[in-house]
Amino acid sequence: MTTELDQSPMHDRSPMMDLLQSSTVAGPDDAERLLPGLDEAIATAAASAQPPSGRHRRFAWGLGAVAAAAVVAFVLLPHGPPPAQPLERDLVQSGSGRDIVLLEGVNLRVEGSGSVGGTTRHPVLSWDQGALGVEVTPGAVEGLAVHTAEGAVHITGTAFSVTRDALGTHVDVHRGSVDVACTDQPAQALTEGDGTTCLPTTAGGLLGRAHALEDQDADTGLVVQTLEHAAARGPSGALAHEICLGRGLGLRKLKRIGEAQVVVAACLDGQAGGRQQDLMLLAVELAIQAEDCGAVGDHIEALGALGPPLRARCDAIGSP
Amino acid sequence: MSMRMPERWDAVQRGDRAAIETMCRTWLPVVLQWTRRLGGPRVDADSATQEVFIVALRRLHTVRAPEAFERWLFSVTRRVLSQHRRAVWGRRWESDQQVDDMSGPANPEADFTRMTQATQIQEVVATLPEDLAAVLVLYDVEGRTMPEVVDMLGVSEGTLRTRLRSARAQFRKVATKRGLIPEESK
Repeated sequence: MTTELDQSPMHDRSPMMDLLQSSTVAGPDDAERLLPGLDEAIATAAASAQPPSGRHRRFAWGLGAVAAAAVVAFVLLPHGPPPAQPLERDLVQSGSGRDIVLLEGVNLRVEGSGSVGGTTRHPVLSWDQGALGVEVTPGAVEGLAVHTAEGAVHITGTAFSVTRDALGTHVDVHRGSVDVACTDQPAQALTEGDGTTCLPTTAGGLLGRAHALEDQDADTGLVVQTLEHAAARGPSGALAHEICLGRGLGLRKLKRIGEAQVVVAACLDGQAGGRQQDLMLLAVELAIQAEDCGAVGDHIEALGALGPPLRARCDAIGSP
Repeated sequence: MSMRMPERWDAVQRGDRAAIETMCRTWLPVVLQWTRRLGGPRVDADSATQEVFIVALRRLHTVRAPEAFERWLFSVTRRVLSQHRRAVWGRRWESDQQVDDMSGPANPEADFTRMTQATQIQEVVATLPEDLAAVLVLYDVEGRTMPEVVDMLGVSEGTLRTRLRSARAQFRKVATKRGLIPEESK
C-alpha cells in the first residue's frame, strides 16, 4: 500500500517551506502556556467520561468533507446599465476582508477566493470559498450574478451578504427586497432584515450540515435525516464511510439498533474508506447491544488488539 | 510513531484527569503548529488552538480507535480554523476598512511588504483553498510521508497527488506575484 507513494513525489524542501516550518514550531513551553485555559474543559471531560459499553455516544465526524460542491446563483436586477465592457479578474483575499469597488455603484467585501467575469452590464462573480458581501446601487448594472456552491438562488435587491458555512448558504438582506430561490425549494421574497438558508445539495455539503447541526445539539432525528439525504446522493470512498458512521451512530442514539446494524453492515460490505476500523467497532458494539455477536466474528478478528475485550463481552452474552 | 496514538488511551477514555492533561500537553504543540500554518497570520493561533481542544475534549468519546485520533484532531482543527476565518471576516464586514479600487494595479500587498518573510509565507499559504493548504502543510512543511497524508486526509492517492501539484503551483504563483520568488526562477 505504501510502496509507490513513498517514492514520489519528492518533498519540497525549499527555503520557504523550511522557513515556514521553523518559524511556526511549537513546543512544551507553548503547551504549558495554553494548558491553564483548558482547565474547565479538562475537568468537564474527566467528569463526563463513561465506560464504553454504557456510553451515550455522540456522532463521530472525523473527516471534514465540509467543502460542498453545488451551485448557487444570486441575481440582482436593478436598471439603467452603463455600456458593457468585459470583466475578468481573480478575487483572492485571505485573513481580513477587503473592500473592492468592482464598478461604480457595485461594492464588494471579499474574504476568500473567486473570480469576476461577464461584463460591466452583467457582472458574474464565481465564488469558490469564503465570504462575500455585495452592495449594488440601483441602476448601476442590469444584472449581477454570484455563483457559489449551494443550490440556486436568485436575488433582486440592493444589498445582501452571502455566507457559506457548514449549514449551507445564508443570504441576509441589508437593504431593499430580495427574491431567493434555492435549488429544490420554492422561491421566497425577503425584505430588509430578513434572511434565509439554502441547504447543501451534495453529499459532502449535507455531511457538513449534519456536522454543524450536531455542533448545535440539534435533534438527532434531524441529523440522521440529513445524513440519509447525503447517503442518497451516492457518495463513495471516505465520504461514504463518514456518512455511514454518522448514520449508524445516530440510529443507535435513537435506539433503532436494527436499522443501525443494516446501515453499518452495508457500508462494510461495500468499498473501502477511511473509517473501516471505526465501522467495524460500531458493528461489534451494535451486535453486543443486540445480544447477538454471530455476524461480527470476522470484525473482531480484524480489529487486532482491540478484539479480545470485545470478544470477552460477546462471550459474556453467550454469542460466538 | 508514538505521536500517532495518544498515550494511555484507555485512561483518557476513562476520564483520568492526569492522562487527559498529559494528552493535552503532547498534542497542544502539534495543533498550535497546524493553526499557525493553516490559519495564516490574521487568525489568533493560540485562541484557535484552545478552541480545538475545547471541542476535542467535549467529543473525545466519539473517537473509537486510538489510531484515528490524530486524523480526527486534524479535522477538528480544520473546522475550527474555518470558523475563525469567518469570524474575522464578519467583524471586518461590520467595521469598514479601506477601499481598494479595482481599476488600479492588482496589488493588495501594500501591508504585505511590511510583514516578516515568515509571516508573508504564512499569508501566501492562507490564500490557498483549504484542501490544498492542508496537503502543502502536511507534506511539504511537516515532511510527512504520502501514506501518512493519505490517512490524515482520507482521500485517495490520486487525489492527493493532484492536490499537491495544484497547491505547489498556486503557492508559487501567489508567492511570485507578491515578490517572494523572483519572476525568472519560476
